[in-house]
Amino acid sequence: MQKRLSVVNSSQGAPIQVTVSDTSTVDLKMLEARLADARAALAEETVRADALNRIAAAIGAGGALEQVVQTVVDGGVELTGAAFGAFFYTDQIGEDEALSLYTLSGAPRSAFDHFPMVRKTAIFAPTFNGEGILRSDDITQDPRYGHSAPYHGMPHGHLPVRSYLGVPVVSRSGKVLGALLFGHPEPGRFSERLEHLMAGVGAQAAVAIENVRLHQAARQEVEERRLAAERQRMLLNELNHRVKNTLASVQSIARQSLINADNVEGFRDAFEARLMALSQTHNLLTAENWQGASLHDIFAAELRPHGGGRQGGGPRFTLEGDRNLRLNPKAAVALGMAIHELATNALKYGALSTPSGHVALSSRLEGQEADRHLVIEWVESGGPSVSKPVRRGFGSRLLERGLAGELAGRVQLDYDPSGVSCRMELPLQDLESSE
Amino acid sequence: MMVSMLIEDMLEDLGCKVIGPASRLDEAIELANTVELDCAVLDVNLGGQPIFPLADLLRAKGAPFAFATGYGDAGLREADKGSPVLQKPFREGDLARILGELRLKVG
Repeated sequence: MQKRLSVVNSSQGAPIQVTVSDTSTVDLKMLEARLADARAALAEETVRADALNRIAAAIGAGGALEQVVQTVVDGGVELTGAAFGAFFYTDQIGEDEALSLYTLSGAPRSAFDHFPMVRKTAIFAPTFNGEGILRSDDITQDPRYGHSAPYHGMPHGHLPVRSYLGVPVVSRSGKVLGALLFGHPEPGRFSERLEHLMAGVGAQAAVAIENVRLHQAARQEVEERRLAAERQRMLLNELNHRVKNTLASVQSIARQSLINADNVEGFRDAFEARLMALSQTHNLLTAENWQGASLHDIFAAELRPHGGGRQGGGPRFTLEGDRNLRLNPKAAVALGMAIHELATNALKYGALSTPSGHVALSSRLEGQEADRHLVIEWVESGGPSVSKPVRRGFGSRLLERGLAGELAGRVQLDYDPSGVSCRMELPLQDLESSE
Repeated sequence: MMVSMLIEDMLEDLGCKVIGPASRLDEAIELANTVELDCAVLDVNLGGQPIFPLADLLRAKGAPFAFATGYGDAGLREADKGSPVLQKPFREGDLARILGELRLKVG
């Protein structure tokens, strides 16, 4: 006799109806067992579907790398029924590549205190190299197990692992980002079907990690641009400050030139020459991003209009001193102006006013440590006989008061009949370029 | 240097007796501590050092002061935002007006 059985199952909790055409020969016990199996399988599938959904949702939502990876590992543990799972990321440690523990599920982090890194042993190599999933019903029975020094198997204190699943996490470009490792103390817990599911999870994890990294890279770029804009704003402020100060300096030069000029032509010549002197020093400073300028270059630049050679010196000048001494911008501008005033005075009344005249300009460092200072000497000879001027001009005021005050030094002007001389003693700490 | 000479000249033109100028902060603080001042003109940046310790000292002493700066009041601390500011470059007339304000403060 033919038996017909139909089972109507409802996941909504409604009673299950069983209709059997021939009740006399049905083994009800067998039916009940089958029903229980079907229910268990359904429950398991529901759990898996939930876990997969959670993983997909976490990956879709993005967020912090740690959070995304934790969800993937937790989901993986749920999906596989593993006792514990972990994500290890590939890390370059010196010459060797190792996998470092990133996140963990099913065991306290302290369980990995003594082995937070996985080396490329025979068991782990395929996962490391992204060759594919390694699934084992009992890893201790794997022919590759137990051959690698120093532990030859699991180190003492390791979580007990028999069932094992190692899933490489590989980016689209083929780079191994890390590995998902799952374990269970009992053998035979991970089925082939799970292996396929986990292959998908591994691929999704790779996408998630790459997304987070891309997001981080994008954020970093935005931050870098913000900092660049900030730097630019500060540079503009600094430039504006410098321009305003220079305008005030030009205003000062105009005023001084006007007070000391005998006529309009005299004003124009003095004003233009001072403007050029200031501009020379600015050129030297600009060439070095306003960090400083060499003392020797400043001397050479100011003497050039009066017949000094390109590198300093020349028939009318002797230029001696340290060619490597560098001055901060404030000292450079002040000394450039000072040398200009000395040269202008020599041209009008001193050694440079006659063909036989000569100027010796020298610089040297004297004193020790806190007392270390720069001595600059300007000595004229061979010119007309000199007498002390009746009126104190801008040049002498600039040297004796302006320069001395600005650079906290001493400046002495001498009007010896044989030629004008000027000696400057300037503390080095107020002169040196910070660079 | 050129700017301090300019301010010195302007102040003398306006009939002031100039004490200083000081080109370093320690020098300026010593001046403020040893000499009787009616008012002071402070460059915000003195050879790379902010002038603010001197501003605090003068405020504590009750000596009125103005800032001379290329930054405008953007370079000032919040505490100093109310102080008169001479934006470089400025005219002698601007300095005279500021000195008038400072004299009212001494009152």
